[in-house]
Amino acid sequence: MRGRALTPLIATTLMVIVAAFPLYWSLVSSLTPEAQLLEPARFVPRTITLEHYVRLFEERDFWTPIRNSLIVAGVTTLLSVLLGSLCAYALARLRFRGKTPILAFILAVSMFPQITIVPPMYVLLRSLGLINSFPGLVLPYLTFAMPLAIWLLTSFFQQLPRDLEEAAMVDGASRIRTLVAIVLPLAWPGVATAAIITFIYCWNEFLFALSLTVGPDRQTVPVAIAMFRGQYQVPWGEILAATLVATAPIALLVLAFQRRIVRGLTAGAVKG
Amino acid sequence: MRAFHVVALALGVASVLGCRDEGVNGADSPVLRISASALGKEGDVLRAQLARFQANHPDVRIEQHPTPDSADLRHQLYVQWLNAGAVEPDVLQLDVIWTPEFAAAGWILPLDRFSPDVSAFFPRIIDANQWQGSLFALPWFADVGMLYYRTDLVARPPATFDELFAQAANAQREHGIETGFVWQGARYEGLVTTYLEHLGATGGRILTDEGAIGVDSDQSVAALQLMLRGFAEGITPATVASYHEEEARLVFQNGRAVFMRNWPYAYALLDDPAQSKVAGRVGIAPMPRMATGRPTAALGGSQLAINAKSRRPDLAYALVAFLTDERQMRERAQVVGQYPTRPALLDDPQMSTFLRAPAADVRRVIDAAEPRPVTPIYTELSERLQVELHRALVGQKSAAAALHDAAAEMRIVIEKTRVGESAPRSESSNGRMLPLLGLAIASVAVIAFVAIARRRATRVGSLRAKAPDVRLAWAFVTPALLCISVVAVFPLAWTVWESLHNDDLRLPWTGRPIVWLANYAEAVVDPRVGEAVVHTAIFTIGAVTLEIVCGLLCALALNRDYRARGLVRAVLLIPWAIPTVVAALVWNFMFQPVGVTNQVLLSIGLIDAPLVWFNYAVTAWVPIILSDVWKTTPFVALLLLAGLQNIDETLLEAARVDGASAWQQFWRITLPLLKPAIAVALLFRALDAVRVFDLIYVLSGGGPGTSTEPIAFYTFNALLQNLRFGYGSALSVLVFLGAFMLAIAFMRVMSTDLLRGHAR
Repeated sequence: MRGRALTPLIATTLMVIVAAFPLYWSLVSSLTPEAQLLEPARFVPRTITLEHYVRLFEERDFWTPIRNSLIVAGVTTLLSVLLGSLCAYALARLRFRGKTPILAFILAVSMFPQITIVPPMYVLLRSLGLINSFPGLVLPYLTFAMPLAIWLLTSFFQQLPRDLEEAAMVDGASRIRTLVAIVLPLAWPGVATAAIITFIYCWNEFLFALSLTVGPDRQTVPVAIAMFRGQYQVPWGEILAATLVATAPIALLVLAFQRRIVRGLTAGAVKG
Repeated sequence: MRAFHVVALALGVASVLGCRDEGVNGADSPVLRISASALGKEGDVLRAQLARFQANHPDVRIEQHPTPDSADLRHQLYVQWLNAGAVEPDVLQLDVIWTPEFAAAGWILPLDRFSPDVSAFFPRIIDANQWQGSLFALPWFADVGMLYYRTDLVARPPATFDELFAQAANAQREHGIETGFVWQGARYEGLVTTYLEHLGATGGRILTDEGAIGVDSDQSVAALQLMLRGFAEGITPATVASYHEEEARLVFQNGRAVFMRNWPYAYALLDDPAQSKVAGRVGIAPMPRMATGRPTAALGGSQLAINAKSRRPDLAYALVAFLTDERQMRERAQVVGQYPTRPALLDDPQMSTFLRAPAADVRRVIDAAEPRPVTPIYTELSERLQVELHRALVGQKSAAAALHDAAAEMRIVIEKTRVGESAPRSESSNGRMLPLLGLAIASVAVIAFVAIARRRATRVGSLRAKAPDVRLAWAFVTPALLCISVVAVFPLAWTVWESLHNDDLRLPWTGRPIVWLANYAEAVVDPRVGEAVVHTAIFTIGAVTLEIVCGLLCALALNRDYRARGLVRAVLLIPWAIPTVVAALVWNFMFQPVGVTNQVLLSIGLIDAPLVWFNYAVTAWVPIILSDVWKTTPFVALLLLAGLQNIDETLLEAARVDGASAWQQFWRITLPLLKPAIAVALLFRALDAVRVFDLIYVLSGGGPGTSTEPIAFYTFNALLQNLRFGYGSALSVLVFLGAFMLAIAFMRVMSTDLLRGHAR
């Protein structure tokens, strides 16, 4: 009996170590002075320095990409969740023909390779003068954010118990009133989850941000980090410091909302 | 709820902060932006000089527009931005080979109207910056490839390559030096510059004076064979095929090489006793020659050009003239050690001290300078050449075969682009109206579709009581559908339409003719497409298999109730949640030659020398696949865990009671019931894997050579490195079709009722 309980414990510990080690290693290295970085490193560093972080924010102005990512991801999430909730509610609750084609359409769109969208976006935004602008990023981001949000929210709405709504409607409340008074308060956690997951996807997006921005004033965090390459010397200290700064907020989000996220991700995939 | 208030507040603050910035097009106080190398000492001296210029021009803000210092990255971004009509940066630092390309495309200003004093600069460097009779950039600092040698091991620098090999072998034998000769052999422009010097030594040419390809001539082949000879004789280590400037410098600096081919920047570092083991024992000389050629130094270095769309060209020129004047150039030589482009400065008595090399030697090298072919399509020609040269270096092809293939490809490029024909005409305005038109049509189409569908739905078979329901439903659904159609369907349609045209945005004089399926025909026979498909398959199969297996194991292990469960899940989720480029960078760092992976493998004795993972096609896949597995296994594990938890315990109970072993329970009951969840995981992961881009961009850049280049990456290069929008669009459509067919195949084979389940 003891043997059988031990294996999953070992396995779990191993998994946690594998998941956490690369990040731990980056943390250690980001605190190591430049000269010692390419030397064989130790698990616990001898000297610790904050020089990379300081240089990151002073010389490289890392606040700007953070601000850009926040704005673009935030606006995209807002739009996706707002429009997506309406659509998802209709798909989950209302009866009408055309549900299956719509769902198929949304699923198909979510499978579009992003690279397919880049050329027309580039040309369109160029003609509208929107290259290197916030709307110029939000627009292509909606390509994947909208279907994702709708997908997550539809699953969630389907799992909401119908009784309360039906009771309200039997009592004479209209659909819209039911929606506002009954469903919204109940749906809040699901909508929040969809928002978090969508935000994470938007924050992490790279290809569109790389192709459709021109300068540091609009580049997002992933692009800014990928740009840290020296001509003859790669500034690993600063790169790793930047990766940790980029990871920290996400890590906090995940730690705080892990249960919701897990439920949101798995709800759509497996029918209970 | 509270968390959301915090996030909302953060967003609000960010938007307010954001409103202040004007982005690219228009600021209140005039700004002049310059994009230039700003790493280390270069950054220091640039900042000082810009401040000096600012002091003389108080009414305009002079700012830096940061770009990555890697030449390739900077080039791709310039191309992308200038083609998009960006008005900034006003002043650009160009690699010497970019000038004709940007000039022909009309992206930089001809400088003749400012009457620069061209006679004050080295004539060969001025020549390299002229296109169709006009000067387009001023030389800022010169880079010339040269031979570094150990003054304590070699009596005098070799005049011929035969001498070099003999001296190297000698020194290796007598002094136990590890390698004889190191240079830049990775698949990038540095390789072509090294090759250029060998070409000069044998009398070969890349482009003849008439503009014809010359890389398959006997002398050109002999030049490549000269490079390969080093490998055969044990003078040059095989790892050179992965070396850029820094790898070579580190080997030489640690005393492990007799000769090195590198750029001038290395000298100051090599002579610094704090970090170099060979300080004080280094000399420079022009690269040697063979009987049929002459000593040659590949001409590199940077020039300053003005953005054609700059709003302040006169001020921009003032800045360019300032930065290239005698005083600033002299200071740059002093602080950074970069070679001045004004011959007069080499007569300065202190210059030898500044450059830490005898000025006479430097002048000798610069006099041997040989520019690369001055043509707007040089980058594309060079790309083809780099790939083939590298194939010869890693032993995939013989020198003759590689150069023969390179010449053939380069000839095709020249033919297609018709370079040298009439001067660039104005850009066709087709590209501008078409997207807007398409947008309008798409919107109208969607609205029409929705209206018709609504009408049909209300009329056909719906009860009175349900009618308001249906109208409401369509009201709810339309905004999202409209949005999706605009941002997804219309672009796809546009891409398909564009793929039927020949549209090279760098060569506006070729127009945008419709060529029907020619791009697809080219894609089918393009060897890089076939390879890219194979690479994508390798990555997809390798990564997804590992993810499913590991994910299953993780899910099984997690399928218990224990206290720290939430924390464990959170830790496991973090890799999934971070940006892919971040994960890729972390793994890139771990797989560096001095990284932790090598350290561990060395200490347990699996390897006896640090492995350069990204040097070989097979080993390069390891960090790529591992980083993807690390990042997405948690997602798969969660999906499968949810599936596991839906399995009825009683079934397993019954089996256990009947005497089934744990394995039988798993194989006969759990696994079949898990099939839907596995199918979903497989589908999502496979679709993501065929579109992989971020990982490759950061980890291997498609290398070594193009051996890890998946199809999405090749498409990106076609689009935004070479600006071949017609061809790139065709590739995009092929990627889309591939993903689409994969999805359909999946749904058929697994017969999962994803859709029906949702529409219940």
